Amino acid sequence: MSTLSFTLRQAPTQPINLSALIPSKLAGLSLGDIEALPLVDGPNALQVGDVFAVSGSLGETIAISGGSSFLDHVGEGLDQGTIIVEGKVGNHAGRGIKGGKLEIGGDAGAYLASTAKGGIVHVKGSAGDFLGGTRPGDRFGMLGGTVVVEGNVGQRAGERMRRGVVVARGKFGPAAGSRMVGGTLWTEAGFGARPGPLLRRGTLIGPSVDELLPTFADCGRIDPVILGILSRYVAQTLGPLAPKPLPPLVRKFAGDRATIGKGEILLTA
Amino acid sequence: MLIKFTGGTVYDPMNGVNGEVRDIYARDGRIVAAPPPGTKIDQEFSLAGRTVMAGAIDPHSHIGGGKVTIGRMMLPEDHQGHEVARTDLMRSGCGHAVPSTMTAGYRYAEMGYTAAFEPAMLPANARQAHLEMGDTPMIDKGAFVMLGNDDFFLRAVAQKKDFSFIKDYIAWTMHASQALAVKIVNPGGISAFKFNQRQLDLDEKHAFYGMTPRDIILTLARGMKELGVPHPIHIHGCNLGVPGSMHSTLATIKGAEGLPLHLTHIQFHSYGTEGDMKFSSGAPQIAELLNQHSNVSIDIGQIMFGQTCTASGDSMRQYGNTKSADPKKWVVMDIECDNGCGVVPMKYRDKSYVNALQWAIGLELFLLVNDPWRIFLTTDHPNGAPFYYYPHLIRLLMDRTFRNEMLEKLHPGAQAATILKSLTREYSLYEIAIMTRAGPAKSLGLRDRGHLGVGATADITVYEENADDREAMFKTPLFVFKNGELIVKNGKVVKVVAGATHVARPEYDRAIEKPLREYFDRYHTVKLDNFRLSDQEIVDSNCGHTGGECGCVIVQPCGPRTS
Repeated sequence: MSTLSFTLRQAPTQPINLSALIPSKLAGLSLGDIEALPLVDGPNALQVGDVFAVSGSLGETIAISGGSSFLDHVGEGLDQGTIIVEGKVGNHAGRGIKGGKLEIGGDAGAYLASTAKGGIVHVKGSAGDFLGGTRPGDRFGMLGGTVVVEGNVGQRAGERMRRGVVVARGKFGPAAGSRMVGGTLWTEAGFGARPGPLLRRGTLIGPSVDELLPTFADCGRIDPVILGILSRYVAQTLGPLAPKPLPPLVRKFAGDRATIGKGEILLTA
Repeated sequence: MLIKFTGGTVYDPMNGVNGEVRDIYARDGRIVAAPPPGTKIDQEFSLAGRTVMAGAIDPHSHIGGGKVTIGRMMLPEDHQGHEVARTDLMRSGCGHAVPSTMTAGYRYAEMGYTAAFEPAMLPANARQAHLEMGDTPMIDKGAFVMLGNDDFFLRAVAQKKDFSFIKDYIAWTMHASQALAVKIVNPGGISAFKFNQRQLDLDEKHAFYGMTPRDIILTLARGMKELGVPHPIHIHGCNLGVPGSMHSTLATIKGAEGLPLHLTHIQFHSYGTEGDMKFSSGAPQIAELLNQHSNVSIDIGQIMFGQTCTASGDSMRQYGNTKSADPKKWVVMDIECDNGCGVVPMKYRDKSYVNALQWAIGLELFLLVNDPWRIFLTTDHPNGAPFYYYPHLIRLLMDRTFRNEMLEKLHPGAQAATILKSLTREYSLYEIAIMTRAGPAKSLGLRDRGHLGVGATADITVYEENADDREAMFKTPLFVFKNGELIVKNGKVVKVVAGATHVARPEYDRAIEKPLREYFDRYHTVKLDNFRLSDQEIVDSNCGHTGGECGCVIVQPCGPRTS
């Protein structure tokens, strides 16, 4: 399998937009063409060649060696192939991803996988605020796809999310699932304070909650069929990355009753 | 400094020049007669084979005032992907449907325009509008102040005050808000909306004041004529966008009693109710009537497909349009209890029957109205489309094959419902020059703009002749000169200048301030003296110029209309 490698020449000192570096946009370009692609517009304009040493040949995989929180929009709009980043990335990584796989070795910034429609995003470190969320002007946050975060997640994950699954081994920050319209947030460590403000539909799964909103109603312990289906689905999609299967019984809190209240927080412990 | 423009093919309808090869001379920002032989020419531009016209003028474009700012704030998605970086010359900006002020000015100039006029300035928002226009570089600008829905005016009409009282009030408002003309938006309708009326036809009574839109239009039209303001009353009529609106438009034209009128974005007021969809074209009937009434001029407000944002003072009709908002968000609001404002984002789709027919209706009107002096090329930016679609629109008018190709891509039902295919007319360059230069300049009373005769301001646009693709030709002018200075070369800004602000100041009796002051003290949040906008708030220098050499105020003379 051929790999196209981008190695950071030195640590960047200003935000760099890497949305041009996805396999479908690079198809048919020579190494020289790729080095001449613009990354930053304006007076401090930069081209790919200024920031990265490019080597290898374009195939299914793009490897970015090094990492920096200035690397924004990594894998934005990815539709096929794999992008592997060695270190951390900045904001908007995997925004609007439609397919393929984005692997991030370090931490990710805010708006990870916002408006994603498909594909898999795997972050080995932690993720910032608004994971799968909306940027101003977006109608919805995540619309599909799967995100796995090994570390913790920042505030307001899944804001206005509509579909898709986010799995975190660590903890979600405060107000996870705010204004969520659908989809699943699943943590193996628990939720921070007040998850699900104005949660319309959608499911928040975790062992514990730091503090519940008063607008969620305790529905007792239930055994919905979906638990098994969901466990099998993530095992199938994520393979070894999948979280442990859900227990047969969970405690349900329904809400947010400040809005239509068709959402749920399922506590597994 | 004497500049010579040598050997260009000149289209200057105001002076009857139709495609003649001529030399033009400019000295100190003005066009001058050919100097005696042997005079030293400081700079010469050889324009053989190129098309030379005066700088284009957009008589109706929403580039200032509160509503575009609302549009900018409401639509962050309109900024994303349309960022423009700073250069050594130009400032950064963004925006597609509602670009930032600086970007709008640059884009206008890069398209060969040297003036654009904001048609809906509320008196209460005049300061904001002028500040925004002051931040719009490159082009001359001016604004039409909105009257006819404000309570002071409606009370005066309802109480049957002496006509000179109303006239003084119109003139006072023009002075106070630094306006070039007066616009009326949905006559009485914005006020009626606040009395829970959801539509107001031409002869329907205002629920509170009792007068009809027809009374309001005639009062203002007569006022403008008697005050001697060059531009006639600028009318955004009743029933904007309503199927069947053609009938109130026809009635407005018939009921004008010979008074000069300008009907703006008439495309939105030319809908019939025939056919299965109860939505049809009223363009043939309206064009026929327009051809008979030489006192009425129009601009089109052509729609183009794609994302845009409608912004209007017509809160009544915009409230009706909110269900079509795309993306689904909108603002309809009252402003200082005196007027309204409605901002509704809109996406026109070529596969939609209604949108496709709207597109065809605009073009039908363009092609069926015979006299190009009374029809101006606009998209009602940003209501029909952003202004930088003009080159595309010009190609649609000048190239029948291209027009029919575009027509074939539309909703089949709309294709069947329009007579566009049978219209063989193609606009000539001369007619385009009338429609985009001479006509608007004459109508607005800009005596030294829009033409290339001796004494005119040296606002000149030079195009590379391209008969095959008029869109490319009008999109990237070879040179644009403003006041004799080269500001755009090959469609790129090479020098940033500030444009002047045009105003008209008809005579009036200052005694009107007494009742007005009482009214302001009683009802307004702002005192009368603070309401008024001084010259110093518009210009940023005490330059002392009067001819628009920099961003100063130019007072256009008022007087009896010649035509």
